[in-house]
Amino acid sequence: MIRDISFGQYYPADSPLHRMDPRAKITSLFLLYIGVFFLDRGISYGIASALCLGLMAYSRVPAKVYWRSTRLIFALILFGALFNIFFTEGDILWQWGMVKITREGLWAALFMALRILLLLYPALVLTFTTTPMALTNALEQMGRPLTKLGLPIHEIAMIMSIALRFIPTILEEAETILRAQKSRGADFSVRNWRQLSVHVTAFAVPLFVGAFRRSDELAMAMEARGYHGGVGRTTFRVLKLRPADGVAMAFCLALTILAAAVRWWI
Amino acid sequence: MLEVKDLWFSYRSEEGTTPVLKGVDLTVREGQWLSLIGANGSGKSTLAMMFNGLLQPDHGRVTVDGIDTADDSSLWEIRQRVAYVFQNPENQIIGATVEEDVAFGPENLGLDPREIRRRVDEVLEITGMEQYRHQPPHRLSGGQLQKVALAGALAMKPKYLILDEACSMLDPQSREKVWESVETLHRDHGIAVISITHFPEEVFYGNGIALMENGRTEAILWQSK
Repeated sequence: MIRDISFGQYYPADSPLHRMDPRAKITSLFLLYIGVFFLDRGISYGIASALCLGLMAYSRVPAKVYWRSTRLIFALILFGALFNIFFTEGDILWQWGMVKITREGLWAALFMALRILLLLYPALVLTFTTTPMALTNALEQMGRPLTKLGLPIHEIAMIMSIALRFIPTILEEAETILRAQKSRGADFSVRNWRQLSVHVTAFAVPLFVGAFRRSDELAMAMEARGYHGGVGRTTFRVLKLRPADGVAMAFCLALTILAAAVRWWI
Repeated sequence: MLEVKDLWFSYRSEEGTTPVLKGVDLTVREGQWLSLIGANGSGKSTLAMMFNGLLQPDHGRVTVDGIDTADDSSLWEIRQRVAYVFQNPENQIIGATVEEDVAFGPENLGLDPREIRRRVDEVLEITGMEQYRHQPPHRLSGGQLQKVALAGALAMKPKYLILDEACSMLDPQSREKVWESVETLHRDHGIAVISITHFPEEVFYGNGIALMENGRTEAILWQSK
């Protein structure tokens, strides 16, 4: 079902990661991302993958929720991996005419897939353990210096927060439209490009019309509740960095330095 | 006092102009409860949206405690006094969790975080949504979403509360509970209520009825409870 997709949604649970300051989580994620780009050998990828699995378990978000969020992306990863396997030059392990599999191709495919997953899953840990509103507050505070350059940081953060909040609503609407069309005899089997374009139009038009209507109503509801931008606004959840947040950021920094050291000096 | 004088309003689109309100006069005083009834398309919701400046009249005047809603600089002040609960709760929930959403209004008012938390706790108790405070909206039923929307409006501590078919998605028991909560707020805190409803039994919570027909208030009856 479409609504099973849970990419970017907050998952309520009681874990130390849920309690962490969102600014510390964003900083830690940024440090980990730098670290991922230093990985260059099997042992580094192995340790990083184990740490990533540990992080996911620490979030107390069920494995099936992670799986549901990424199963479509696995198809893309597989496509990229096949491309690497068959088109990378190197020591030939198997060949059939033009088609060949090389040792380097296998490693490149594995490393590329792992790198994507190591970028994807920590980001999911962040969104599953942090409410969009908390992310908004954190990004707003972290980006405050940029407001001096005229960047609308509050507005950008609020747009991001609302987009994340409405992902499940839009998915639900998409499913309702599909069901409504099927119940009136719509046949979604695709036999040619013309049929595909007809199906996409029939599905996308009501979905977009619904999304615009929702955005209109939401804007009105926000106005009705006194929203007038970020000026003078307070938050009921005061962000406060605790020692545990510092430890987490220091740990991520140490991992990144270690990854860099392994790449260049070992 | 909410006062509407000779109010005219039309929706404009590329297809033309659709007159919706045609010379409405209405007054709701502090502590009163007016039920707005009428057929679909009679202009009830449009009129209600005039009360806190979400729509501006083409002609006529709407004032909230003497403040004209046409004055842009006063809109923020007006929206603190007049809270609005829309018909479709899903499109008015902004927060990713129940408590975040309820806090949205008080946050806009720039209140102290402790005061915001106190208000959130209070209205979640009133609406019976305490156990769902950490739940994301897409995990709630339609009725629960309507309670969250109501809690969000109550957290503004408004002087006037507008309920635009705000209980239409609730089962009879839940609807009764919400109405009882609103009644308690109305009685104990003196909140004036304007409720749009299609349920005849709900008009008995109030002490006034206004019947709208074709953009006009055909009859307004006030009764002491």
